Formats: sequence, structure tokens, C-alpha cells
Amino acid sequence: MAATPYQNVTIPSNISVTNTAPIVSNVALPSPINLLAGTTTQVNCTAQVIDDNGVSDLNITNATLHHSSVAPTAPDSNETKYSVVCSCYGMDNITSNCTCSFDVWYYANNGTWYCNVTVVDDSSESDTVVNSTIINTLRAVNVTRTSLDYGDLPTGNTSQELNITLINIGNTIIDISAFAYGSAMDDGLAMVCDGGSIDATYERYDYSSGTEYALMTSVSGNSAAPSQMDLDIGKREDGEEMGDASSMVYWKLQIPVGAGGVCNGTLTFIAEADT
Amino acid sequence: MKKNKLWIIAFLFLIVSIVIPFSQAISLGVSPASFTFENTLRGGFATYEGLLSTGDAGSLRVSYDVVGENSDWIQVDLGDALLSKDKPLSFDVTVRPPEDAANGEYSAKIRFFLATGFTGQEVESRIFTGLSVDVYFSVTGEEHVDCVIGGVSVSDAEEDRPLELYLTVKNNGNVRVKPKIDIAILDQSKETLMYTESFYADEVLPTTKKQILKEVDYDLIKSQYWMQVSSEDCSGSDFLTFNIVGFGEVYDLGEIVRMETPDVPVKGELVPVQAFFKNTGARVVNAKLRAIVSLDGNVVAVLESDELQVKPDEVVDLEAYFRPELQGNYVIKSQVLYNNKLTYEKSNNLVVSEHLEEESEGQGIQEITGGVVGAGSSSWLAVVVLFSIIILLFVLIMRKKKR
Repeated sequence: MAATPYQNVTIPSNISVTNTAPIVSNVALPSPINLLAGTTTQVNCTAQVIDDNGVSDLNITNATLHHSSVAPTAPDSNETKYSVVCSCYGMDNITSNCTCSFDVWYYANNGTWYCNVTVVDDSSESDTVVNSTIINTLRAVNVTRTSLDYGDLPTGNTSQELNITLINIGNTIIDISAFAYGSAMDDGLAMVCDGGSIDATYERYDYSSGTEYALMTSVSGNSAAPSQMDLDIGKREDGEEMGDASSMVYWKLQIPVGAGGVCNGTLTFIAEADT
Repeated sequence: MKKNKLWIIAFLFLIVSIVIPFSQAISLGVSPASFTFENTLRGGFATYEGLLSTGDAGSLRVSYDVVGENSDWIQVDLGDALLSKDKPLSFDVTVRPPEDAANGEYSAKIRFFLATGFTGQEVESRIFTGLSVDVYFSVTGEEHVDCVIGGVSVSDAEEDRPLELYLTVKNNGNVRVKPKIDIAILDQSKETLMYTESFYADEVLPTTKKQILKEVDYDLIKSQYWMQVSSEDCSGSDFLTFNIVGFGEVYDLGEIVRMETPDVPVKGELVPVQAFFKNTGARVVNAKLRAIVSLDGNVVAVLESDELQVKPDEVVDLEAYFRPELQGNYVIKSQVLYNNKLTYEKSNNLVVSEHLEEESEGQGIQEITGGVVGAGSSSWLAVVVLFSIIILLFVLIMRKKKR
């Protein structure tokens, strides 16, 4: 038997298909962001996630949005840090587009914020990419009344005390200024009546309840130089209710001689920068 | 004792009924709280956008004034000036120093106001809620070029289809810019340069930004690639990855996020049907609304909107119109056709009335009157009064029985 020139040899061959780590790219979010007064604002951070092992290898994509004053590992806080699981859908075999939606509260700190998008695959390999944005200052106020009804008052009498609560529903400290007018701005009046008028000096305020009318401060009748109420109403903080960031102002009105009938006026409150 | 309790309940109910409407709050917010315009060119202009918001559901009219030195150099564009909880109001602040303005630093304040109405009391101060926004600006005679590119994104594309590159040019200077943008495409290993191209972006006015779409038409085989985007004229650059995939492997995706029709349409008047369509896919689609309007099961109109180009993640308002000839309950079934695909159907009911009812006439703009806002307030008061009468009658009957 002639020997064959070839010999069958079996060589064991092992191919190990290794996992490829996923990639996060194209992280984008709007900048700057203007928050809404007294409520939440949806901020979408979008990203593309790529896994050469296929989109089915992707396990979870989550994201954090945090203020520059805290680390991305800081605990969640409405003021400084939010965490979400992103919503992703496949664009092709290896790519997913992800949207990470954060409901950011009105009292979230203004300044630079970072969106960290992290993807983890089935082999626990991960990738994180960061992008930044600016959350603008939000100056906002809630005034708890739409009118001050002083009731029926005889000439020379002083009204009962009425209060107004001013709530800071923004993310920056506010001061309040106020001015009154009767029928037109800067007429120096608090009210115009069927008969006569009431000068702005007769409508008065104080920060304490029960203050005597004579000791209260007259409201300005000049819109260019409104009464400056140094209230310094700070923004809401974590653990507080909306109404906690507030100040109350007490009002009285005296009816001068010469005023009679139905009297109407306008009182304007302006939230402004703390000085 | 029981009699006293009933009296107390009745009394408290009446007090609450009276107090609640008159103690309604009114809120107003503005963001940002200040604007800073640096190096505004004499005779030039600079503009920024802000946002007003409120917690009040009714549609309120916003007014404003500008106070401070050179306040006439500042313009505010409030659009329709209508604000409600669901519709925050965007506004533009523009500074236009005249040719003879002196170099220097200036400041002013914009004050926004929300008005309320009188409640009809004897001696009453209605309350206006206001906010001030600080405006700081400097004027210069020197031209200042400063721009930045950002918001760069490139979507996956099928073979033989162009790549869609998006970028935003923000002009931070005080003169117009038309920057040259450079792109370079590298292979997956980032070692081989596959393609380069330069192009000029559209002109961008000072302090404004513009999104630019550039189609890159270059044949690439199926693989992953990298793209470097930069500009010699502007700061900022980006390094992105994208994939070239086989035909049909890039999905167009879209959905109708909401439909809108008027609350009180009237027979014979033109009725807008609005579909808010969102492109949730990775590339631009052409979309148009198709709607079938039926009354009592009979098709009365087939509507079609104009076709609009929709970028990824963009929401557009697709509008079509019809004129109902009869009163009744119409059903509108809407779908959006985008790149030969259809969204799920959305169905709306539309009750068309014979005449415009008196209550609906005032729906456009509301002025808060005693905190009782909107058309529903009179019915609410009626319910309160009715309940009060029932409780008082109940109390009187109980008293009589006791005797």
C-alpha cells in the first residue's frame, strides 16, 4: 500500500469571540435652559449608543444631570442632581438613539450643569460621555391675592388689616418693590372714587401684623421710584414646601376726607434682583 | 349641640365659598433674569431671547415698560403677548445703540406686568404682578468677530445616500459672520483619512444663532466612521462617529404627539386641524397630515396639509382646514405620511355648533376678575350658591324637627 502524500491531521481550533465595549457618542442637550415658574421643565439629553455586538447586547442606558457644584455621584436633589433611565430605540443593527428626559424643578440651581450618559452592556462593560449646558436664572413670584378688598369704610376710618403673601417660585433670591396708582400710572393716587380720590400715602404696609396705621409705611405713587421692600425672599430648598420661600406683607387703608362712593385703584408688585 | 355643629358647617362652607375665589394667586416668572450685551456696535444691534411663564391656566395678556437711561435703545418683542400655564411666552430683547452713541457701559430694566380686573368691591385695590429684568450693555465702535460652532450631529446613513450633518453657529460678536466649516472623515480605526470638504455656513447675525444642515455626498462602504468638524473662523470643534449601513437599515420613525382643534367651532366657519408631528428617527423626513372628517359615519371631507421637512427630534405643526356645513358631532381621523410611512391614527371629536355662544366669545383673552377666571366661573358660582341653599334648607329642616 503506497503511502499517500497527504495525511489527515485534526488541529483543534478555538476562536474566542470577545465582547466589544459599547460606545456613547453625540451627547446633546439644549443650552441655555429657561426654567418655568413654579413647576418642572422637561430637559432632554440625547445620545447615540453603539455596540458592535448588536443593540441586543446593550443592557441599560442611564443618565445623570448635575450642577457643577456637586459630583455626578452625589445623591439626587431637586436643586443639584437628577438621575433617569433613558429611553432608547434601535436605528440599525448596532446603533440606538437614546433620549434621557429630566423633569427639572424651578428651584434647580442656575449655572453650569452636566449630562452624563452611561451605557452598560450584557458583559458589564460600559462607557460614559458628558456634555454641559447652562440653566439660566429664573426670577419668579406668586402673589396670593388678585385684589385687596378693604370693605365699606366711612370717611376718616382705617380699614382692617389685609395680608398678601409673596412666594418665590424661581431659582434666585428676590426682592419686592411696589407702587400704587388710581386711574393712570404715576398719578400719585392709591384710588379714584366716585367722589374725590385717595392719595397713595393713605395705603400703607408693614412686615408685622398688628402694626398701628400711623407706624406703617406709605406705598409709593411713583412707578419710577417704587417702595423698596427689602424682603430678600430666598429660593425654595430641598425638603421645603413651595410656600416656605415666602414673605407676608400687611396692608391698611385710611379714607381721607373728601373721598366717597366706590373707590378703585391698582397696586403693583414687582419681583426684582436682590440688592 | 348637633344643631350648633350644623350651623358651623354651613357657616364655614359659606366662608370658604366666598373666600376661595377672591384669594386666587397669580404668578409670573422670567428666565433669564438678566441680559448682558457686550461690545454692541454703534449703529448695530444685538438680540437675546427670554421666556415668560405663569402657573395660571387662563390666557393672560402681558404688558411691559422699559425704564432707565437710554431705554429707547431697547426693544422688546412679545409676539402676541398672551401667556398661560400651557403656553409660556418667548420674547426677544434687542439693543440698538444709535450711530452717535458714546462708548461705555449702560443699564436699564424691563418690567413685565400681568393685569387683573376689579371684583366690584366698594373699596378695592386690584393687584398687578410684575417682574423686572436687568439689561446691561456696553457700546463700542470696534468691530468684534467672535463665533462658536456647536450642536454638531451626524446621523447614520444608508450606502449611496448623503450624510446629514447638523451644526449650530452662534455669533457672539458684533458683526455678521459667514464662517468656513471644515470636515474630515476617517475610517473606523481613525488612521486613514477618507474624505475632506470645506463649505461656508449661512450668514449669522450678531448675537444670534443658526442651525445649519449640510449634506455630505461621498460614497462610503458599510462600516463605522469618524468625522472631525472644525472651523478656522469660529471656536469649537467636534469629533463624532457614524455608520454607513445597508439599504433599508436606517429606519424613519415619527409620531403624532398631539392633535388640536378649536374648542367651539361654528357651522360655516373655517376650522383648523393641527397635528403636532415629531420626527423620532435619525434623518430628515418630509411629512404631511392626512385627515378624514366624518359626520354620522359619512365622510364629509378629506384633508391634506402642506408637506414640511422635519429634522430629527423636531416637532412641526401640520395644519389642514375644513368648513363644516352642518352642526353636529364630527369625527376626525388623522395620520401623518412621512417618507412613505404612516403614523398610527389619531381620532378627535369635534362638536360644531349652530351659533357662537355668548360664553365662548370671551375665551380669547381673559382678565382675572376676582380670581374667578374664565368662562367656567359663572357655573362654579352657581354650584356654590346652590349648595349653600341646600345646606341652609337642611339646617332649617333639622331645627324644625327638633322643635
